[in-house]
Amino acid sequence: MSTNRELFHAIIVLAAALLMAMFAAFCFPLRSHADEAPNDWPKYYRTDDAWRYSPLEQINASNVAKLKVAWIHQPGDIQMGLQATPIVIDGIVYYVGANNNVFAVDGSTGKTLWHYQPDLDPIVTKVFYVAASRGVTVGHGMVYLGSLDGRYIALDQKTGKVKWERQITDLKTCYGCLFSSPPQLAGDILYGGTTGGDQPQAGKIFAVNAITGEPAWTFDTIKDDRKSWPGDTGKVGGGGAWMPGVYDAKTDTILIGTSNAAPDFFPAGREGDNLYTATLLAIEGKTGQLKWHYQEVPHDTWDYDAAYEIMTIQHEGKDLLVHLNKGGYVFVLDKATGKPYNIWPLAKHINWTSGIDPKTGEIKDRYEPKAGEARTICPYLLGVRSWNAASYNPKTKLWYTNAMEVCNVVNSSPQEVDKIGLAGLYLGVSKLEAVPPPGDKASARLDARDPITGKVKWSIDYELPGLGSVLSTAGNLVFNGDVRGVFHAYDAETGKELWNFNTGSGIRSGSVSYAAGGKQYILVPSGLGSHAPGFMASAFPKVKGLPGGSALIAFTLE
Amino acid sequence: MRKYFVIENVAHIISVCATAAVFTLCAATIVAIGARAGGDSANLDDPVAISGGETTFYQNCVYCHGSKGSGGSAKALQCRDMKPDYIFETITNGRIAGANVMPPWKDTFDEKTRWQLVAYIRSLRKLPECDAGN
Repeated sequence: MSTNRELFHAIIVLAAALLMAMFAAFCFPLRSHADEAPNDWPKYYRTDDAWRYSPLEQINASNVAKLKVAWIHQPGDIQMGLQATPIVIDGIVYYVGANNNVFAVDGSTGKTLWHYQPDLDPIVTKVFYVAASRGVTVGHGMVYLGSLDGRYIALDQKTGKVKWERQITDLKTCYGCLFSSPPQLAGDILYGGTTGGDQPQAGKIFAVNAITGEPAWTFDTIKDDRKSWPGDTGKVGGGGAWMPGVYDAKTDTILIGTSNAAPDFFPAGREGDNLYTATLLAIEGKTGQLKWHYQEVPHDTWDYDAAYEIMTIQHEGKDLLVHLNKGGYVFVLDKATGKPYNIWPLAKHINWTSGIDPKTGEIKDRYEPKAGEARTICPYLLGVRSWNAASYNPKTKLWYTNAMEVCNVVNSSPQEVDKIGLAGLYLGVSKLEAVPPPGDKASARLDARDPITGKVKWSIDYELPGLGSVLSTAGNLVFNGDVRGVFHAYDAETGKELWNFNTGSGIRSGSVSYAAGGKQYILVPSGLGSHAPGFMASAFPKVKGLPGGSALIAFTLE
Repeated sequence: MRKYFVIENVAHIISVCATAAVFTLCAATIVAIGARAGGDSANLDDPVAISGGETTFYQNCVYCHGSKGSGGSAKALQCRDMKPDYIFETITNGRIAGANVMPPWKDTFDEKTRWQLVAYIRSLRKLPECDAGN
């Protein structure tokens, strides 16, 4: 009897605790991850908030001018520069250089601890997106690489020896679709997408068991729906999810964005919304089932990918997503449902629409490319910003992002898929040229803005567009590298420049901060090498001839 | 007798080989001329070949070489008097120069398309901006 009563009591207590937990989860949004593992940079965006913010403050606005080079690590191969965002855990730096050269480096000294390079299929030299990787992922005692020849490879975190590998894509049949970004972890699931928004292929997100490499699920970013994709247009509709997603462990939700629809600028034949291109996807990690989606640009005809970082912030009791689309708008969405909360323009020059309804997402007065006619469209195909990410600082509550104002003249034209080879692009143009906005000059800047409303706190003009990711820290600092290779530190509140260092080659990567041996470091991958400067040269002639390179440079206080 | 038979056979083989070599050379020349001419009567100054090359250029090459070959991440193509064979070979087999990597395009474009690209790139040596010293 007494036992039954105790059991009943225990059940009541458990039920109450469960109810309280549910109440708390319902009423209070997720707390930030910003203060977790403060000494590390454990993920691509450091945390799944995607803030690119370090809580370290040993280096701060009052002493940043005393930064000195602590060490330099050279990966030895400079093809397409150094585009990676390093991962740092327990004082060890993990990064990937050109042609999938993976390194573990002592974060205090720069000494190589191990080096691994897969024997790459020779086809990797024949495709459009050659040589460059954006990073590796670390977890489960392994370092994960998405390779240039379409494999997932898991390395032992301590030794760099291969633990398992699995061929995921066949470059011969998908116009060279490959992993330019690191696959990400969602618990025991490793998932990622490939290049392919500008190729005549149908994008997919591939998930495997992170421990064993066994296939788990595949998500088709091209929806099997004839209303969305008439005829066979979906088979060549693009839709590569080519940037890293983020993971909400509490709800087992992967958030990842997709590329533009293909052919980029010639939409005839694919009348429909072209799901799930230019879309944010919320996918259940364990099963790959779609929870919700929000298509930012239905029936994209401008090359406006939705692949960039998906940031989470708390605002008025809600968890909101903040997401920049290449088309120049920032989409602020309810994280639970994907419904718009606000939509605001980052670009000053936008003419592909007269505006997007901030509450419904309706795109008004679409100005599309037209076959046989040269049309100037703003922003251009590289977007109001390139793929490298912005940063959010919870202390200033500001969002720091690079931006540029450039348009392109588009001659829309049909393109025969049969004549597109391995390295070919499926843009659907006969002419395409980057030009200054009508009545204005091409320009670039670093903005500090309210991420919910877009209100500008400060803005700094750049001579050439910044192509690296922004970093902010608890030391009231914002770091941003420019395309000439000068790495700048700014006061996060005012935008005043406090320090800079010429690294010698442009920044096309993700700088990070970490601590090792009691010292804070700012780690800067330097080395230009990218397709982007080629296309923007007609709008920014000074971008021509900038030197390539590849070096990982660590700064610390004297 | 046997010796003469061998010599006669060797002479015959040499004769056959020489004929074959001449024939092969002729055939290769005809193919090369045909390929360079875009498989038809056009040549590198043919506006149709140049126009075809321009379209292919803007679909595939502008990303690195810039509009009208202005250069960007890759070296400028405009205002340079490059030999057609040099351009064709570079397009065919690709090139690595420091951080810049150009993939080989032989698995992507047939010979005709590559020669049309040569025609377009050759046309860039005479742009008005070249006279301005740009």
